[in-house]
This record gives sequence, C-alpha cells and structure tokens, in this order.
Amino acid sequence: MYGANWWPIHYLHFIKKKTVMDPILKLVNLSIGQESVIVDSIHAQAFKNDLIVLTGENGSGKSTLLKTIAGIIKSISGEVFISGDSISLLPQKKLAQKLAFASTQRIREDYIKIEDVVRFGQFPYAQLDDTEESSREIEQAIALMGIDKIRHKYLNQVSDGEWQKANIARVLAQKTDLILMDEPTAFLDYPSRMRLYRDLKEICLTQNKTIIVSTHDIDSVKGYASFYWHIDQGKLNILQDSPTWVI
Amino acid sequence: MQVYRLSIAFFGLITLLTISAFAIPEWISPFQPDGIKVDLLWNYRLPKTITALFAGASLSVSGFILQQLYKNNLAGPYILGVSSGASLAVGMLIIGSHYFPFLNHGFGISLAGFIGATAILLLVMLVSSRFGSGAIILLFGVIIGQITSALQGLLNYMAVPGDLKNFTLWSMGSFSQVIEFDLLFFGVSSLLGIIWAWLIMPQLSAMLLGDEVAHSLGVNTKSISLQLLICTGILSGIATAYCGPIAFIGMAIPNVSRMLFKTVNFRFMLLVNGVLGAAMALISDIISSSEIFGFNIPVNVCTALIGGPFIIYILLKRKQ
Repeated sequence: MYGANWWPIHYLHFIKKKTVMDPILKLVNLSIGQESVIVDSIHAQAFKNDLIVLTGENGSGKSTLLKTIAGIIKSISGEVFISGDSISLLPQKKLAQKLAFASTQRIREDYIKIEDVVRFGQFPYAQLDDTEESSREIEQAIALMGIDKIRHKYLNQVSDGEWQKANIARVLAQKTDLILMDEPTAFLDYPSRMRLYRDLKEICLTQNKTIIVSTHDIDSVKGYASFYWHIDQGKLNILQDSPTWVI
Repeated sequence: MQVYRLSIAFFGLITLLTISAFAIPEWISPFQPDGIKVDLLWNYRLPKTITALFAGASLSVSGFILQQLYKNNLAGPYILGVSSGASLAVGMLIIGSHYFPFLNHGFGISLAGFIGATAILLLVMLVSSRFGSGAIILLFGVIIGQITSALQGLLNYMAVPGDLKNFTLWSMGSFSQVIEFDLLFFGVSSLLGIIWAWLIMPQLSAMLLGDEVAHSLGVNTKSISLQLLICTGILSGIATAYCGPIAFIGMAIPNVSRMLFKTVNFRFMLLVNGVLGAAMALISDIISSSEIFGFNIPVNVCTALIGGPFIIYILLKRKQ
C-alpha cells in the first residue's frame, strides 16, 4: 500500500553519529581555480577550536581557496564537507548558518553604523526585522568584541582596527561553527595585528569555533596558530610550524 | 526621528500635490459648478499631477537601485544611458509608426521604453562585471548616449515633419501627455515595479558589505541583481516612454535621501526616495507650468536647473 519502504528504518538515514572528533571542515581531493587549476589535490581537515593560518605567496590561491570553501567560487573538482554535509548540496541559506566569510574589502560608507554591520550577521536568520533572539545575539557579539562605545559611529569615522573588530563581531553574530577571514590584518599596524590574532585565538577556544585566516603576516600570528596551511607551487602543505620562505 | 522627518516630507508632498493640481497657474476649485475650468482640472491638471507623482517616484527609486547596485553615487537612469536607450526605442516606434500605423499605441510605446531601457541595463551589467563599476560605467553611459543620439539623428532624417515634432516635444519631457487608460497602466506598472523592488530590498542592503560577503550571508547575488535590473527597466523605461527622458531626478534624489536619512534599512530608503522623487517632479512641474516667462517651460529644463548645481555640489564634496 505504501510501497516497499514503509518501515521507519528506511527513513532514519539522516541520523548521524556525531563525536567530538568529527571534522568541522573536510576537503577531499579538491582542485580550485577560477578558469584554470591553481591548486590541486587538496586533502585537509579542520577540527573544533582550531585556528588555521593559511599562507602562501601573492596569487598562490589563498583567497580562491577561502572563497571555494565559502561556496562563492565553484570548485573545479573534489568536495568540500562542512560538518559532514557537502556544500554543493546545501542550500545557500543553510550554508550561511554554518559558515561565515569576511573579505579584505574595507567599507567606508558614511551612512552605515558599526552596529549595522554587526546586525548583518543575523541576516541568515532574520533579515531586517529584529527578533528578540537576534538582538540578543547582536548585543552578545558587540559585548564580546568590546565595541559598545563605538557602536553608533559611522564607517567613515572609524579606524581600520575598529572596522576589523566590527567585522569579527559580524561573523560572530552569524553563529556559525566555521569562520573564514581573508587577510583581516592587511591594513593594521603591528600591535593591532597582535591584538587581533589574540582575540581570534580566544574566540576559537571560548566560543568553540574553527577559524581559518589567510595572511602574509607570519611573525605576529606565531604562537596562536594550531596549524599552518601553506600553499606552495600549486600544492597545499599542512605544517605544524610556521613555514619558512625560500628566497 | 527618521519617521518624523519622513512624515514632514510626506506632508510637503501633499502640499505640492495640491498646488500642482489646483493652484498653478491659477486657482481652480473642484467644488465650483461645472464649466470649462472644472473640465480642465479633471482632464488635464489632475492626470498631469498624478503622472508627475509616479514618474518622479519611479525615476528616483530606479536611480537609488542603480547607485546601490553599482556602489556609485553618480549613477542613475539618465547618466547610464538607460533613458537614451528607452528614448531610441520610443523614437523608432513614433517615427516608424508612419510606415506601420498599428505601432502607435500607448501600450506599444511603454513596451518599447521598457525594452530599450532593459537592453541598455543588461549592457551596463556586462560592462561592470568585466571592468568594475567606477568611472567606466559612467563613461559607458555617456558613449551610449552619443550613439543613440546619432541613431536618433538618422531616424529624424527619415521622419515626416509631424512625427518629428511629436518626438522632439516628447524628448523635452512632459507630464501632461498621459491620460485615461495610459495613466492607469503607467500607475499600475510603476506601483508593481516599486513593490517588486520593496520585496528584495533586504537582499540589496546585505550587498552593502560586498557581493562575496552577501553571498556568504545567503543572498543569491546574481538573481537579485538581475531582478533589480528588470525592476529598474520597468520603472525607468516606462516613465521615460510616457514622460520623455527626464534628467537629474534619478541621480540627485537618492543622494539627497542618503544625506537626510542615514540608514541601512533599504525598505525605508525606498519610501523616502519615492516621496522625495515625487516631490521633486512636482516642484519641476509647478515651475514648468507657472508661466513665469508667459509660457510653459519644458520639465527637463526645470529638473536640470534644480538638479544640475546639486550634482556639482556632490562632485566637489566627493573630491575632498
């Protein structure tokens, strides 16, 4: 009457056993690139509480790798799994609740407040209407990054360091397990870079996040990174220690 | 505070509506006994006022969408060549209707305007996706304007005198040519365009953080851009088809609204743009039909005289 698959066991395939050691991010035989392949046969995993630093020369494919993981660029071959789900099968909105992405772009519009930037973090949950829960998340993110004093400043009045804090608060408000940041320290001075990496490490450990940061700045990230993913000559190498440049 | 400001703007708009419909160039009371003046009021002035209202709102909303989409405060339907595209299509229709009389129909003209506008918008989208959206799309718009005016010259050469005069008058901009069914069609399509834009405004506001970040926030940026372009095509194309290519409203008003209301709530901004755009169109209409020099000044002259200096101000301010 209901066909052969009436027994409930046939519908239970969505139940997965999740253990602490399941990777948040898993890259399987991934090839990336916009038109031609830049990096191929990438195999990598990232776990909870990892701060992964992505290094490599200019044009080596750091941004492309981050954007491929974020689903902004399609991979040439291979798969990206986030908490066990392939990103090519996830709807965009679901993906936005699992993964947050911050680009290098600095925005200076004179009508956007710091607070508005953070509020966009709740966009995948409640678009423009603030629900009670979304305003709570936003307040939490603002408090965590310590930007309560500058929340009403417009973006043309804030420093690059303050902008990056707002940016991080935004990705925190997005409530995702995985955070990708493309060169967050590009415009910052040395003390601000140190502070930023310290903050990121703290977020990783206390908020149970996985963060992947691309950077050229190996000096200030030292001591905070769990692993280095170093792209060299079209291959991704996973290093325990900071990569040394061969000149 | 912002709602307070918007309501002031709204009352200003109502005042302008009243002046435009009843008081300029001379007062006509709607309550006096029937006569030629009341006839004038219902069949000429009120349609003109309502047309100005919709045209102003449509143009400034489409200007707002284009400026946000291309993140360029100088963009607008006129400067990107969208109005020129609509113009050329309408010109072809008006002048071609001498040879194919069935073309000369209000609906045909608005369809031509929409097609012309959307074609140029798709070209602009193509250019901006390859070369970015800075000065290049503005230059592109200027060049499109030159090309369409050259083609227009060719059309004018082929035209018969009556059609030529019709087309020339149309290109000076006027709110008084739209009546009865055309007015209804114009109003409904403008409203539909604005409602469609209203529905996707949150997604457009997320694109403030850049297209890539918007994508990671769950916005399908390609689909949203395309939908917005079609909206803009409907709004600016049909407004241009009915009222002629009207300059400056689409560029100046979004900047004014952004200065007055600093908010990322784009649905609110859409309302503000609609109200202020309609107000500017009504002011232009009031100046145009107040017979300062003893005759009606074309609407385009008024919008240019109000909007031009303002754009120069924006440019100088941007330079700092």
